[in-house]
Amino acid sequence: MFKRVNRNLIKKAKPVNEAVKWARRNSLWLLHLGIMCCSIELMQAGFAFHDFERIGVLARATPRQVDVILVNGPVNRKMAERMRRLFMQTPGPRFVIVMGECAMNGGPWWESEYVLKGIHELIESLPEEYRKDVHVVNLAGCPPRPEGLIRAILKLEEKIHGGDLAKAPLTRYYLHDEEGSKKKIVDPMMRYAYDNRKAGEKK
Amino acid sequence: MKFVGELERKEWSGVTYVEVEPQYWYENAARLKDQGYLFPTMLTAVDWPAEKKVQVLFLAYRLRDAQAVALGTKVDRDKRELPSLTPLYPGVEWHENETYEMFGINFAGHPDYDRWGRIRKVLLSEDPRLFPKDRYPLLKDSGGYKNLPKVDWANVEATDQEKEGLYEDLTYVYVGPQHPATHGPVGFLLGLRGEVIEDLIPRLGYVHRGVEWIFEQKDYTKVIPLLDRQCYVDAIGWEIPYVLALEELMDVKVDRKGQLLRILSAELSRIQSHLLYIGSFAENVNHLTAFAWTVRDREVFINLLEMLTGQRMTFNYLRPGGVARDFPKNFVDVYEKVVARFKKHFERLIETTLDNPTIAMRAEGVAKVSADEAIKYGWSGPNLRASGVAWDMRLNKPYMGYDDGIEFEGAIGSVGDNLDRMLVRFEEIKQSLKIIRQVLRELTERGEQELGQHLRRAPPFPRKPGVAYGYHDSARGENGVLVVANPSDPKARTRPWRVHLRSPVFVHTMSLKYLGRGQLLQDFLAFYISLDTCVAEMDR
Ligand code: SF4
Repeated sequence: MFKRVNRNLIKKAKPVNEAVKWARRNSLWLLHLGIMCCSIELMQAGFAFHDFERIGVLARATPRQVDVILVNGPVNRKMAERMRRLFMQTPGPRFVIVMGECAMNGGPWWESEYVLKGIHELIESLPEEYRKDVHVVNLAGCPPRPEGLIRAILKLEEKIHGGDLAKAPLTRYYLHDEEGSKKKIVDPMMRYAYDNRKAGEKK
Repeated sequence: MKFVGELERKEWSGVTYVEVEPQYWYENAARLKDQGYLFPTMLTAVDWPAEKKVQVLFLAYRLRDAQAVALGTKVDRDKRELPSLTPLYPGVEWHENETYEMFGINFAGHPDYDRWGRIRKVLLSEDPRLFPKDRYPLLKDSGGYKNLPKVDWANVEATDQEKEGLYEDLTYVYVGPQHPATHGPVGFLLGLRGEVIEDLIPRLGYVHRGVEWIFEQKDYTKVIPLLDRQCYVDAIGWEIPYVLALEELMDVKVDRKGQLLRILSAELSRIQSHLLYIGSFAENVNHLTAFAWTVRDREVFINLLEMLTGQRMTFNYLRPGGVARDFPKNFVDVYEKVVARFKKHFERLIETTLDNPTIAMRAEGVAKVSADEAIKYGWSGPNLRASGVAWDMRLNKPYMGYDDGIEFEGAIGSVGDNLDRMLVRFEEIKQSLKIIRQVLRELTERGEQELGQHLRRAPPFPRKPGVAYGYHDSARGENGVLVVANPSDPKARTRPWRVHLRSPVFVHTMSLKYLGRGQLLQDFLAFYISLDTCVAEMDR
C-alpha cells in the first residue's frame, strides 16, 4: 500500500518563516523612481540627517530587485500603463508606500480627470495573482516630511513583523548632554550649526 | 516700429503689445526679427468665445537693450490656422506644439508635418483611448479635463509607443520614464548609430496634469499653493512671477520690506536649488560624495526657508501686496551660525568636485552650446549665461526691487559646455549669499517696522480686464506667467481667465531634439542633467 506524503508539513517550518520575515523587514529596497515633489523629500530622507540606509533601506533602479514601490506623485493616464508594468515587474510580495496626497486620491489636481484618483485604481486592475500580495501603507501630506517617510517605512516593517515596532526610537535625534548621562532631542539643524564635539571638526 | 495690418497697440508689464491681422502674422514676425528681436520667449493663445476668436500671442525680446514686444493676432474660432514661425524662430517650435494641443491651432509649415504629417502632441497622450483626439482642453467649451472616457487599465497596452516617423537604419532605444538619470518621469527615444545619437524624440507628459486648466477653475489666490508644486525645488521661483503679474492687474504696490523678504526667499531658494543641481550632476557622473554633501547642505537652506515661510518645500509665501508671514526675530542669528559652517563645506565641495578627474572628463568640452544656438532656441537663466550671454533678468530687466541698492554680479561662462554650466551655478551661489547679506543688513536696519500692505487687505481679485506678464530669473531660467483677467464674464469674476506658464525647463528639454544630436549616448545623459530639470513644470 502507499501512503501519500503530507505536503502541508513544509509550512510548519516556522523558524524559517521567522528568519525570512526578519531579513525582509530589515532590508527593504525601494524602487528609485521620482515622480514629483514628494520625491525630493524621499531624497532628503535618504541622505544626511535622516538617512534611511540605517534602517536597511536602499534605492535600486530596477524593479526586478526591489521590495517596495514608493509612489511619490500623481500618476496620470500616460504614466499609468508604465506604472502598472512596474508593479508587475516587481517580485512579490509587493509592498507599496503611497506617499503624498496625489498618489492617494489625486491631491491638489483633483479637478483634472487626467490624473488618476489614486494609485488604488491601478492596483485593482492588476491580475488576481499579483494583486493578492500587494501590501499598502498610506502616508498623508503634501509633501510628507522625511521623518514621515521613515515612519511609513517603520510602519511597513511593523506590518511584516506582525508585531509592534512603534517604540523603535528611530525618527528622533538623540545626543548626549555635556554631562554625558542624559539624553536630549536635538533639532538636526541646530546639530549642524553647533555640533563640534567630534575631534576632527573642532575649529 | 512699423507693422503691417496693425489693429491695436497697448503697453503691459513693460511689453509693447501689437495686435495685427492674421494674414500678416508671418510678415510681422519677420519685421520683428529684422529689428533685432532674436529671443523667442513664448508663444501661446487665449480663447475668447464671446468674440468667436482665439488670440495668439508671441513674445520676443531684444537682449541688447532689454526691449520686449508681444505680437498678437485673433484667428477665427472655427478656422484656427496660422503660418508657423519656425523658419524665423526655431525656438517657437515646441510652443506651437503646445498651442496646437491645447487650442487646436494648426500652424502650417510646422516641422512635425514633414515627418509625421500632423503636429504631434507633446504633453497630452496621443492615444485616443486616454484622451479624446479632437478635444483641445483649453478652449472654453471643450470640457477641459472633465468627463474623459473611462479606461480599463487591465486591457490597455502600448499607449505611448512610437510607431511612425522612425528611420529604418537607426537603432532606437527608449530611455525613461523610469530611469535613475532622468530625475523624474521623462522619456527620450534615441535613434542610435553605434554610440552616436542621430535622432532624438523627447517624450514628455508623464506628469501632465492640466494645471493651466485647473487654474481657471480656482480663485486667484488659491492658485498660489499650486504654483509651488510646479517646480518643487525652486518653488518661490513660480510664486514670484504670478504674484507680480497679479499685482499689476490689481494695481497693488509692495513696500520695501515686502520686497526684501521676497528677495530673501528667492535667493535662499536659488541656493538650495543650485546645490541640488550640482549634487545631481555629480551623482550622474559618478561623484556620489558631492551628492551626499549637497543634500546635507541643502537641508540647511530648507530649514532656513521653513523658518521664514513655515514650509520646507512648498512655501505658499507670497501674497498680492506682500508676503504671508513677518520676518522671524532670530533669523539673522541662526543664519549667521549655519552659513559660517556652510561656507567651509562649500569650499570643500568646489575643491573636491573640480579636482575630480571624472568630472573633468565628463564635463569639460562636452556638449558645447554656442551663444547663438542658445538664443535661437530660447534658452534662459544659468544655461544661457553659461554660453556666454550676459542676460540676467535681475540685472538687465530689474523687477521686485533687485535694482534698489542691491549689488551683485551675474555669472557668465565662455564656451557653454557642462563645466561652464556647473561653474556658473557655483558662482551664483556665492552671489546669492552676497545678496542675502545685504538684504539681512537692510532688514535689521529697518528694525521692527510694520510689514507692508498685505496686512491691509489687498482686494482678492482684479476688477478690470487686462493682461499682465510677470517674470523671474529663477534657478532654472526665465519663469514667466501670463495672467489674463476678464471679470466681465460671470464665471471668471473671481477666477483667472487664462494663466500660462512659460517654463524654461520645457524649452531646454525640447531643444534637445536638435542639440542632442551628434552626441555620444553617455554624454547625452550628462548633458541633459546639466540643464537642470524639473519635470512637473515641464509637463504642467
Ligand atoms: S502630494 Fe503634494 S508634494 Fe507630493 S507630489 Fe503631490 S503635489 Fe507634490
